[in-house]
Amino acid sequence: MVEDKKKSQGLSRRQFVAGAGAAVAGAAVGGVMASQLVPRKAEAAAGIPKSGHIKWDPDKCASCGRCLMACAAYRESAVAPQLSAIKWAENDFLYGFRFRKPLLCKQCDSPECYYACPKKDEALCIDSATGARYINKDKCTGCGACIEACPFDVPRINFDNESNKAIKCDLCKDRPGGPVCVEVCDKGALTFVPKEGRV
Amino acid sequence: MYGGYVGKILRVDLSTGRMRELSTWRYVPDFIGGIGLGYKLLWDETNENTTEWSPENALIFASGPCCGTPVPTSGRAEVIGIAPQGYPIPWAAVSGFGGDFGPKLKFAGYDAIVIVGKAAKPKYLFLSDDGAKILDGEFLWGMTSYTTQDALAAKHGEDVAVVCCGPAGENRVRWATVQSRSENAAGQGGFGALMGDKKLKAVVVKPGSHKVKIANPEKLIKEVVKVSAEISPAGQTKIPVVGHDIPFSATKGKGRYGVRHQSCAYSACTGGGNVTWDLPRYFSKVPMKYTGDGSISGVMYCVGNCSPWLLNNDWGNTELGVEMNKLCDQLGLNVWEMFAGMAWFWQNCQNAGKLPRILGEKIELNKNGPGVYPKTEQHADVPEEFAVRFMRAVAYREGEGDIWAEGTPRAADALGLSEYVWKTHKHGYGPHWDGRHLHYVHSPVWIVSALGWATQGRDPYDQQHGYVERYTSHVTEWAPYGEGQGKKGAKSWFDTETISYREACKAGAKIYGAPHANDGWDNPEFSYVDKEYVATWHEKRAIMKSSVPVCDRQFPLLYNAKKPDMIEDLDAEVRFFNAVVGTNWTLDDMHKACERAFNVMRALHVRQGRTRAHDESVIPYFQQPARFPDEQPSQELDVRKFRDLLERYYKLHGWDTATGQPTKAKLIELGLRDVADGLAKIGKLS
Repeated sequence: MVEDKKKSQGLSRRQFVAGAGAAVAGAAVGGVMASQLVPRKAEAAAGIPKSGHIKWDPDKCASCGRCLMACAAYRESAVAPQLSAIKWAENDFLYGFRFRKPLLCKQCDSPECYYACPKKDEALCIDSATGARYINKDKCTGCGACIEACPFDVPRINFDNESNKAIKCDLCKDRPGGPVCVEVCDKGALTFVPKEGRV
Repeated sequence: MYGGYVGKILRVDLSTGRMRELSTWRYVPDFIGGIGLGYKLLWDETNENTTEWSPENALIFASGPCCGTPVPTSGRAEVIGIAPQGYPIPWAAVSGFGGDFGPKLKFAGYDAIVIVGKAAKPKYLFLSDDGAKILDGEFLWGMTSYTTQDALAAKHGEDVAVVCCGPAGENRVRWATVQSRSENAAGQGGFGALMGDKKLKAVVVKPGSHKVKIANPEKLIKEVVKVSAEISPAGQTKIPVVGHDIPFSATKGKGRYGVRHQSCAYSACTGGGNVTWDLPRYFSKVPMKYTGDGSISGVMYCVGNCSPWLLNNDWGNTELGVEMNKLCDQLGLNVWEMFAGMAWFWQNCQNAGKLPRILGEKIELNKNGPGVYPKTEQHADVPEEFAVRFMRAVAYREGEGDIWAEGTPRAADALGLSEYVWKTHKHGYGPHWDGRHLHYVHSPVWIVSALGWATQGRDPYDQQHGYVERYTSHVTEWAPYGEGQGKKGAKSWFDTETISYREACKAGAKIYGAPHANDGWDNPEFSYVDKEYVATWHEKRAIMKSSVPVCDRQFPLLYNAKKPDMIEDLDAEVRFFNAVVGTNWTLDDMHKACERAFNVMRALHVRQGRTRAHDESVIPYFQQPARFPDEQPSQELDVRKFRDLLERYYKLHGWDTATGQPTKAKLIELGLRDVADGLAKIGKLS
């Protein structure tokens, strides 16, 4: 089915990302083009509350990947790389001396994913309590516009081919214990920064 | 429908190229996963005539239900097969490794792979969303394990996981490893040789669209948090062993060797917020004299930690130690056998005036040995330039290297040195946590160890880590390292509070359900009493760890000085299993499943020709004095008492005491009628 899709639509960036599952990050991991940080609609951004976010500390991270699978387990009651709202940089296969690391959604002040969603406020929504830019699964059509719009390389939104839905960090807004990735990281490498603490 | 399993096992016949799928549900949850599943698959594939090199000998890679989940230390896979390293009979054995192969095998759609037959030309197996393919491996043949993996990652994408053999495996070196990434290897067993024999250079798994259900996610998260804290309790700051005290982040990339820590597997234990030695250390700046540049310059991890002190006297020569590790990994040789088996055999030979030359070179090893730690002056002292030449000669079977490639006992037979092998090797494997040569273990702890050695197909590593290492390091009087040694307040190997020997005895009586289980140190009249209960309990735990799977080094969680009964958390693995799979097993239920798998292992050995005499073949080794400087009447095995103990052990298992064979009644009780029938057919069922 995946192959059929690729054939019929050509290998767009979105398809590539979706098909890759745990995305492979290149040299530009974490890089973001400054131009893309300028909101498309400055006036609209002014009306959107800031969001809390998950902060990652590279000095504490043991790159065990437990956060990824806890995320998938909590969200989807299943584990698989494409079910996690956290992506993974596999950029040190053997050669070189780099760090395997989680790639987290930044919950941008100016959420390009939100603007790009054709069903804004229905499929890609803003949570008033946490500020999380989240996906309402029931309304997501799987068009992939949010993934295309994500300014990061690798995009921080995942895609499940089977359900044809985008999967994105929602800061576990409905979970009483807070973000599950933070809870399972016993290194303390992940911390939840509430929207009030956002710089 | 249970969670944790994909539901499919891939069976590949390399002789015919035929592939088919087996249902995992035929085997689970009864055989749990990992080695429990693996032993049963091996039983089903092989027969009484199968040898290590028979086409029908199955090379099995198995994950387990918790693999790929957030369960701490669960990112493991197991290799199972009739193991070329075993001696005199290559007993069916297992070997585990971390990394990302296990999880990605599941995400590629399979719980396990069973590989039988032999390819005519080099091949590798590639599993992805496009299905399983046997691909031409000619271009990989001859490559080191590092180059192989890099070539396959370049071809199939860096999100793949790879297991492969190095040149040693290709050349059927009996102590060749299966390698995965730079920091993970299935060492003991010689399964790399099995890959080489089947002309299978690698197995590549690419995560696809497969999902693995989790039965109870919130329960799982709760257990993950709880048990992580138990593994790495607050207050644990560092491992007080010379050379280990490298702060986690302070020297990351900045120290003399550019040390960096990174976990050894998906969902590895991380040491919590503490410094830890459980994370592999990568050295970016070690000068690479022998192994060339173009890659990381060394990794130290679990077993890999050992070679510096085995090779060249102390931790001071980190440079050489990590480089030797790397060379072993590249060639696909078992670092443990090299430095903790073969080198000590050489020393024993030289102490007897034999083996003045190896590979035709005059080599003078340290006469004050063999043995290591804490007395560093006893190290083998193998000259480094020679060590490099030797490992290469073995891996490529050049000259006399061809003889040593057969492993220590077979090389000894070929060179007329058989009379020295028993001093180090049992069933073909070198010392490990048995009170001789290496680990200083008090009596009666090594008596339980001897029982494990007697009845396993290889070194009983997972029993030793769970019992010998955990127990000895948690007792105040025995606390081996650092300040306060042996006194109140002494810290354990894990940098936690120790408990007194008497407290440990009390806790042991409860854990094992036998009053003298942990007893017999300062009261040697109990040294051989109740030890069968300890051995059988840890056998089950060994199966459990490598089937669920979790790390064999971290589990079971036995002692905690802060708990009223000093017992930490005995059913952590079962709670993980239940949360992932959706079962409601008690510890007893899990123990039953483990006993089932252990009996399949025993049946495999019996079918291979195992007798009580084979079990007792370890006795002379343990008649050598234990190395701990205890003021005890005897540091040697009491043969009569040990034989009685072995007999009680058989009885406890429900096995025949004369032959050591499982009985029909026991096998049927465990739901193993097919195994009973198989043994009866060849007249080996008591």
